[in-house]
Amino acid sequence: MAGGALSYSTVDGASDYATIGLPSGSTVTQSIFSNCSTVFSSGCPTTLTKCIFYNYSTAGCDVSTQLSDDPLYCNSREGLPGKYTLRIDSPAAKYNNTWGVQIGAKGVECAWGSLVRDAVVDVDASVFGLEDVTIPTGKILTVKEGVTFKWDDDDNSAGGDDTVENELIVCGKLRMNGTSSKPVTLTSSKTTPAEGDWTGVVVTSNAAAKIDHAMIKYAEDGVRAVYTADSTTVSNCTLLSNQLDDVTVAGDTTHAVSISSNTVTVGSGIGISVSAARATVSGNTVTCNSSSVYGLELAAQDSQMVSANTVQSASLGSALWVGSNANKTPAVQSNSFINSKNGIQCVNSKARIGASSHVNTITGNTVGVLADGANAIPALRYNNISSNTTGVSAKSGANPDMGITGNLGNNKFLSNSTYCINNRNTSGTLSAKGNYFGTVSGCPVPACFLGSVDVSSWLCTAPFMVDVPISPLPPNPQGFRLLGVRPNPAKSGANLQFALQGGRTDIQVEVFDLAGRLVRRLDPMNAGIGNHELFWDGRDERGTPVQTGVYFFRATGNGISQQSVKLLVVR
Amino acid sequence: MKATTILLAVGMFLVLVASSSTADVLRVSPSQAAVLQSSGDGVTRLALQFDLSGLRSGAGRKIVWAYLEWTITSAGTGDKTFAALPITTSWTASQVNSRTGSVTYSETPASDWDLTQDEQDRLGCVVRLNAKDLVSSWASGLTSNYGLVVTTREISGNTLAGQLENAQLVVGYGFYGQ
Repeated sequence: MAGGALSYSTVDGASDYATIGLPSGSTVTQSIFSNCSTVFSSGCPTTLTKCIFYNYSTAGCDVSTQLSDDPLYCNSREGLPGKYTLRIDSPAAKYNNTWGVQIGAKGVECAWGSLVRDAVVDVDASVFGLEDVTIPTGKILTVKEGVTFKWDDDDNSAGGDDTVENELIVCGKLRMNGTSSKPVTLTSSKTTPAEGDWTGVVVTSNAAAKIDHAMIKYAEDGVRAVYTADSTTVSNCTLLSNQLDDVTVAGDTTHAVSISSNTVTVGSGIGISVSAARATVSGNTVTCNSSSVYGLELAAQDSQMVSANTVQSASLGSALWVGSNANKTPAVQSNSFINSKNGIQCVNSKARIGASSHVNTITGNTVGVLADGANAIPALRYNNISSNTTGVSAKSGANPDMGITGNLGNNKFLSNSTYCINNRNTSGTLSAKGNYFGTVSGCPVPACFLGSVDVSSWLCTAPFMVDVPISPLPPNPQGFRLLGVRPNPAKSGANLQFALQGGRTDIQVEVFDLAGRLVRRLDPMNAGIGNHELFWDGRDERGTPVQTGVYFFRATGNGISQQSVKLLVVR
Repeated sequence: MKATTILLAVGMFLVLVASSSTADVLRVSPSQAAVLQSSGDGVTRLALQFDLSGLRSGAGRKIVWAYLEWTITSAGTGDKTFAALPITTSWTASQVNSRTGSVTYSETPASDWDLTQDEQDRLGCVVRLNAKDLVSSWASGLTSNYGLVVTTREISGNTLAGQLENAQLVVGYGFYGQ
C-alpha cells in the first residue's frame, strides 16, 4: 500500500476490527478508538490531532484537542453496527477530504449532536439519525443529492422541541440540494414505518433553510418553521405520511417564506399550514384522503399569497381553511380546490379570493365556499364555482362579498346541484352582484339561491376568465423593480433586467408558459444596489429549447417581492 | 348558558375508556355518556366526556387539530346537522340517569357539521365535529374538561346513543419550542 492511500474503516471492539499497519508516509489526523495502540500496529501516529472516543475512553490519545463525540461520526452504542472512516490526509485517496468537509462518503453511518463545523453530506450518502442533529447558529450543513437520512424513533438525548422523537434542528443554515432524479430522502428507520416516527426538520429562530427536491416522510411535521425563519424555502419536495402537518410555518412577521412546487400527500393531519405574515404558497399539489383535516390551513395575514395550488380530496375536511384573524386580507388566486367537503372554509378574515386574470376553480365539493361566523367576510371575484352541491354557503352571521355596486363579482356559478348560493344566516342579505349563473333564454333572474341574496346586475354571458399565473406585488423593502426583458421577441434567449435600490438580496426568477406551467427556475442571483441582468437561454429544465409562444418571467426579490414580465419567443 | 335538569336518561349506556396513541395522535372513546331528556324542542342531546390524561405533557405543547368523529348507521334519509356544545359544570352519567344530576352547557356551538343526503350517498355517513378549540382550552387548563353535548334534530336519543358508542375524539398535537 502506498503511503497516504489508506482508506480502511474500523473501530476496535467492532466485529470487523483489524489492526492497521500504517503505510510509510501516512499522515493520520483523526481516528475513532478506545485504545490507540490496539488499532495501529506501530502505535499511535504522532500526527493524530483529533480523536473520537469509542465509549468515551480517552486512552491512547495524546492530543490536546480531544473530542469525545463528533456530531457526524458515531459509535456502535445501542447495538448498532459500527463502521467508521479512518481519514488520512492524502489527496490521492478518493475519500480523503479535509476534516469535516465530506461526510458519509465511506462508512460513516450515524449522526447525532451539534455540528462543530460547516459540513457537507456527500452525494448518495446514507446517514442514520441516532438522536437529534443540530445545526447551530453560524454553521452550515449542505446535503447533496441522493442522500438518505433515516431517523431512529427514540431520542436518547431528550433534546429539541420534542424530547421523545428525533429531529433535525436548524439554528444555522441548512442547504438541502436534491435533484429530481436524486432527491434527498428523510424518513423513518423502522422496518414498518408509521406517521410520527420522527419529529421532522425544525427550523428555529433566525435560522435559514432551503430545502429543494427532498422527500420527507413518516415525521410528525415534515418541515416545521415555528419561529422567525429567515428566508426559508421548501420547493420541489415530496411530502407524505407525515402525522400533524407536512409543512408548517408559524410565528414569523418579518422574513419571507416560500413553499412552492411541492407534492404533498396528506395523511391524518394538514398538508401545508401557514401563519407567517410573509408567506407564499404556490404551485403545490396537495392530495388529501378521508383522514385528512385540511389541505391548506391559513391563519390569515395581509401579505400572504396562496396561488396556483391544486388541493383535492379532503372528503371530510376543507381543501383550504382560512381563519384566525379578522380583517386580514390574504390573497388566494389561481388555485384549484376540488372534490372536498369544503373547497374553501373561511371562518375568519377578509380573504381576497380570486381576481381578474387570477381565477380560482372551485368544483366538485359539497360546499364550494363555506363562510362561517360573523368575522368571515371573504371577497370573491372571478372564481369559477361550479359543479358543487352548493356553490357558496354562509352561516352564523358570515357576510361573504360576492360582488357589490362598482365592484361586481364576475364569478361563474354553474351546475351546482342544490344551490349556487345559500344564505343560512337568520338575518341580513348577502351581496352577490354581477355574477354569471348560466345562460337561460331571455336572461331572467337566476333562481338557484336560497335565503336573502342580492343577485342584481347578474351577467347574461360568462365573464372573461383567463388565468395568468403571476402574483401581484407584495411589500418591496429592497426597492426591487423589474425593468424589462431584452430582446423581446427573443429567438434563442433573453436578458431579464432589474434594479435594486435597497441592500443585497437574493433574486429568484422562474419562467412559466401561458398555461401556467413552470418551465424553468433559473439559478438565484445575490445582487446589490444597481441595475442587473439575468440571462435565460430559452431552454426548459431539461435543457430543451422551448417552443414558440408567450412566456412569463416571475422574479422574486428577497423572497417576497414578486413582479412579472412577458416575453415572446419566436423560433 | 343553559341549565338542564335531567329527568330521565334515555337509553343509558356506559362507554369504557379506551384510548390509544401513535406518536402524538391520541384517540379516545368517551369515558361517560348520557342522553339528555328532550326539552320538547325536537332536539336530541347527548352528553359526552373524555379522559385526556393520555395527552403527553411538556413545554410548548400545541393542539394541531382535534375532532370528534363517528359513523352514522340506520339513521334514515335526508340532510342532517350536528353541533357540539361545551359542558360547563361537572356531571356524572349515573346522576343523570338516576335523575339526581344535571348537565349545564353553553348554547353557543363550538362547531357544527352538515351531512347532506348527497354526501351520505357518495361518501357514507361520517360525522366529524371540529374540537380543536375545545380540546386546546381543556389541555391548557383555560377551561375544565367537562365534555360536550352533541345535538341533532334528525336522530332520536336512543339511536344517537347507539351510534356514538363508536365515537372517538382524535387529537393531533406536538411540541413547538421550549
